[in-house]
Amino acid sequence: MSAAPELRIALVDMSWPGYRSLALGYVRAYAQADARLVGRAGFTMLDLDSDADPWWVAYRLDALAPHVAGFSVTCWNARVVFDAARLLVATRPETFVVLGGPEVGPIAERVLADHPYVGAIVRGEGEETFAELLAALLSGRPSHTVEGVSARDGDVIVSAPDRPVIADLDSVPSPYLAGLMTPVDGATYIETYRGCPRQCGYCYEGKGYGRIRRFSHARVAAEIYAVATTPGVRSFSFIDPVFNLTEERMIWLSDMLAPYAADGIRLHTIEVDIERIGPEQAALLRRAGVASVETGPQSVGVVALEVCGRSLEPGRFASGVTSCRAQGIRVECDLIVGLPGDTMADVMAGLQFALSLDPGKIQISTLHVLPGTDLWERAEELGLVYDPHPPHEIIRTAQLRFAELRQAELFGMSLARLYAARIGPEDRGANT
Amino acid sequence: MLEFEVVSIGAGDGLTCARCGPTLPAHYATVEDVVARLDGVCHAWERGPGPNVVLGGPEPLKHPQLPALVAHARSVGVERLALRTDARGLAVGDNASGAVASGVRHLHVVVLGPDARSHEELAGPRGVLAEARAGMSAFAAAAEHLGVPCAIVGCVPVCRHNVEMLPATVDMLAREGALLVHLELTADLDAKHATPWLEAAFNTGVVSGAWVHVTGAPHAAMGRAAAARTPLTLRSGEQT
Repeated sequence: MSAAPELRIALVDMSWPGYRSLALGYVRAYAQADARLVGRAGFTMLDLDSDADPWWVAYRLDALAPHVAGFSVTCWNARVVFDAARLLVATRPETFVVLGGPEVGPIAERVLADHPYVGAIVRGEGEETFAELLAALLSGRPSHTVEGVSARDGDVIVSAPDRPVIADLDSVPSPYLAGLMTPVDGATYIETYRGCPRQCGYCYEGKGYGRIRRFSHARVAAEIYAVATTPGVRSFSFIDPVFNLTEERMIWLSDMLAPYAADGIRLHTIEVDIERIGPEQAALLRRAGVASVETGPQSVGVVALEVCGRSLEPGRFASGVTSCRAQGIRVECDLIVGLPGDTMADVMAGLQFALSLDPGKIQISTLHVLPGTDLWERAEELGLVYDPHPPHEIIRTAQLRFAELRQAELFGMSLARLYAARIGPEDRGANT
Repeated sequence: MLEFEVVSIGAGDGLTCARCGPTLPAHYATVEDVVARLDGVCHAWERGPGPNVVLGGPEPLKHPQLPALVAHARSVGVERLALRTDARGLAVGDNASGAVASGVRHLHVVVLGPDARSHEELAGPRGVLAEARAGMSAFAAAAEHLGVPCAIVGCVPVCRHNVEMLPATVDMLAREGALLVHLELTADLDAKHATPWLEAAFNTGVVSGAWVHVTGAPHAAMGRAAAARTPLTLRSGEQT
């Protein structure tokens, strides 16, 4: 019988039902492999729904009696996280609350100032920083001296220097291969690289994690094997921002995935740069088992595209959609309402463009001005008024008043749902 | 935006205001006639996503061979099939799940008032609105149970007898799951009197989650260009 760990750690994510946090899986896998923590730290992971009652979340955590409670915070779950953490500390003052994730990292000092029950915030990539923070807690070293951490030194909030991104991603153990996460049908994601080739103004992905770093082919192949051969798993996905990053890589992935695809394994909602997909690339996707892809254009407005650092060639975009559809691959066209520069006419033109492509699915979302993004930094200059509280939804822009934005959202969402209500290929017996 | 062709399944009115005049009795077309119209629409379709068809005219749920019509529409490639209906029949037995399973994806539900008293005063016997709401609920529940995306559209023939009830009617339809409400203005409606009620109905829809679209009158009379936009356009290229 092993002794109780010196440090009990609860890691909590709140997302959509059924989702299992790959980010927390990485954090746990890395920390568990850290020699300073082996035998001294015990971990529990909780994947909860983002609409969970914070009192219930605190109740669950209280039962675990953690020394450290780590929360992954996004704009979607931030309000529940803050409430749950506040309640937890109220009932267990000895629990040290650590937050990480894109909602808190870029504004760490402000979050610490606004939420006195939060002990520390991990900025940027969490694996190395969180493990070192736990080691510091065990050794009595102050949290605010850990690279990549913002914490309190008495009454003063201090941010230690940024930690460089992890150079060798293979140094982060795979939570699938380590047995920490069991793949679940339709809710499992594989990451093959970090960073993004794009620098979209509304997104943190390309800005927060810098240059593109890849997991090795051997690591990716091993994860694909582990996931695709798990009993009951018939579909999974990739979390990469652009699946068709390079032609060579797509050929390699297609080769790697083809045997599983031949056995009926399907890949859903793969994010692609649709303008770089022609008939040959679409055939590669099909061979890899891709059933659906997700892509822009986000907007067709010239000003909005320029402000957001995006480009659109409508002809190439349409050609990409046609190529995918010819292979039986459903395309999800994403449009964002409320981008700076977009007029109501631009929003309507975007909807008309997406509809004219008959892509399979149209997804409408409202702009969220997220901490750390280019739009967040330039909000005043661009005339963006947004809710300072998460999820930071746009209230009005220089081009569209509050009422017009709400009307544009409703119109777009109504159209998307009317479009979706159809007798699809699957209803006619197509094998997709 | 998304276009639908109205294919009439016969002659006579669907649900109309009884105080405005007598409702013409239904005479259903033969299956062969409707099939020929469906074939014609599908053959000629070149308007973007589709073909999309509304089976309109007299109440389709009372057409004795509706299942055959739906099956034919599906077989000739209709992608979005809608019924313009009072929805009452969908609350009966397995009709709702049968409709969804066979291919009906859109319901265009005709309603005249927001509550039993006002609706029944204009539309007929006691209990018809409760039955209509039960029909909409059954359709939505069947779609969810079968995992099939479906849509409900409210259709409100607007006359002087119900114009002041429009905000409440739109709110009721939104609560029943309508994504879109068509306000179909009759020719003799006083535009000056109707305008504030139409505006209120539009704003109620925005808050309640149903887009409101006004047809049948000059939109300028409303002073609100937004209601002239519609995500769904109905066209009728045939004599009914």
